Amino acid sequence: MFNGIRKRVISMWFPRLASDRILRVRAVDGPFALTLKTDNANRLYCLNARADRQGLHRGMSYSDARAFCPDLQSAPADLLADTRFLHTLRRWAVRYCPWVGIEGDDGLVLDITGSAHLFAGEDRMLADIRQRLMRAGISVRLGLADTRGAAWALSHHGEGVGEPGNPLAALANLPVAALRLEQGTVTALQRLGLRTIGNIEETERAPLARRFGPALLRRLDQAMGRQPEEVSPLADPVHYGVRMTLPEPIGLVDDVTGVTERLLERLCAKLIRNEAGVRILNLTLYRVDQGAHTVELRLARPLCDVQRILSLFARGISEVDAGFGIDQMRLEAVEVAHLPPEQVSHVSSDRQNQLDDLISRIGTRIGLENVQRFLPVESHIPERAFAIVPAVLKSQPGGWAVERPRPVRLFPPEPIVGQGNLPPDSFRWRRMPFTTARRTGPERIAPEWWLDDDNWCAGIRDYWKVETWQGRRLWLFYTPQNPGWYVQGEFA
Amino acid sequence: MPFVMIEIHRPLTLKEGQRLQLAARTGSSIGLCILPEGMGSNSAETRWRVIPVFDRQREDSTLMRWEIIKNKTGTLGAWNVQWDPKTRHLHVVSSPGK
Repeated sequence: MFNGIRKRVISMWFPRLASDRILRVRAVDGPFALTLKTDNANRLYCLNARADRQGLHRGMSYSDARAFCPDLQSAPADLLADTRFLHTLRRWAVRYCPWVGIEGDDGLVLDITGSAHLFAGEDRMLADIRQRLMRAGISVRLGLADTRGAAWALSHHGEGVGEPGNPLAALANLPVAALRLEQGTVTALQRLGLRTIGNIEETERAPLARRFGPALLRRLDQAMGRQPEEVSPLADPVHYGVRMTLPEPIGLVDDVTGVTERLLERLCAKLIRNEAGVRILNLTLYRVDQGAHTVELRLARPLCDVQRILSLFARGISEVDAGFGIDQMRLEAVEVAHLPPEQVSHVSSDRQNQLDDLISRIGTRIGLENVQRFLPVESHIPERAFAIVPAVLKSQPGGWAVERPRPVRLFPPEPIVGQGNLPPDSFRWRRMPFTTARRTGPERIAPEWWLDDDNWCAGIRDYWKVETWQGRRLWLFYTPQNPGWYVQGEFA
Repeated sequence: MPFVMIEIHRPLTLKEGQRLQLAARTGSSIGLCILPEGMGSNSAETRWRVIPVFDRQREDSTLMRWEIIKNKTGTLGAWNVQWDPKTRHLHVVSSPGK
């Protein structure tokens, strides 16, 4: 394996990871539990030690727990945040060894082969881990053994340190559940009288394999070190942040822009290498007098082009008060999106790029979400056939499909006087008299009954295009179920 | 061609109008402001009044009368035009009823 070096693995188990995460921020003096809604019932998901002592347990229904323990405080569980927290802990654990993997939902596994001596031995290392986690308010169970399986067994079933080269010594008295088996297998083994790992190890292998399949023996061999099981470390996420410390403070806009350009060159090189584009950038300028000013830049689409980003920064930089000078600058990509390389051809113009830059530039003044555009919506109701969305959102496939002409200007219906189901020959609208010259229609539009809309409570509408002698071309409608005439739009 | 369209519901002040005019000139682009009757800005280069006209000959016609009512650099005039949505062109036509 490792040229004669014996492999050593630490398994960390955080039995109260989720509740510890909450309680670190907001300490609670008393029983505390996190609840999770599963199968239509609120159940306890994670509890603190005080709640455990009151007789509550994981999986108990929340109402039962409240009955047992009236002063129980609770909060809803956030599984996503827990996973993020575990990944944070994984990054922290890299301080002990480079090979750190995630073990299930609430554990870490560290391959400390050859790194224990850096902490003056295994015992000192375990003590260090325990102390640091305790200070951070996270309860942990540690297991150290030659294999990942044995370390897991030790951490989950009574902590301990396995003797190097002799895994059975530490595992022999642990229950069979410590072998990471399915619940059904564990029950069956217990019925056979095989209660500990030592019992299984003494039993003949062939009947066990015949009865329980290869999984049991594989787990046993993994724990004993007869079969390898690797620790797969996760790749660290790429960090998109660069900074520069200056020997002399600067204050001129040109100088700051120059430094920004140098920072951007480094950042963009990294972005291009990872096929990414930046969406939100933060440029922080640290002044000599310890003050800091942050310039935020939101882009209409992911970019990794130095000159384009730099020209968009111009306004933000010019507004900064340099005070006695700026001596440190930091540029961080807060939001990064995937940006695969594109084929450039003579057909593709840079018009779209220009428009995106314009949106970004206007967005830096009035906020990117205030730059809006129209998008088609599939609806026959004219008022609802479009939506106004921020221009940075990607347009959906499917264009403007208009079967019949629609007015260029649409306004809320304005009633006019009229009788019958044909447009009136003459009418007054907005205090102007009109005489109908030509009418085209009707086009019947039924309300969308699945939506509750007060404007359409008059029922179906028959739309007419009415051209008047006075020139204006109006869009009138008649409501046969509730007779009345209205003007709703004007054609070009 | 760069083109900016604005729609206003209150009159532009002289300062705002002058700024828009200067921005359009430095950007060498057209700025078009749709405004209600009588809310024109003094700084505008030209002002047009557009009135729809009834077309006796054709249905689905978009006959309009474009009158230039203010022009800082030329004379005033009026045209009858028709928009062709298929070819996306404006056709100048003769006055109706003459």
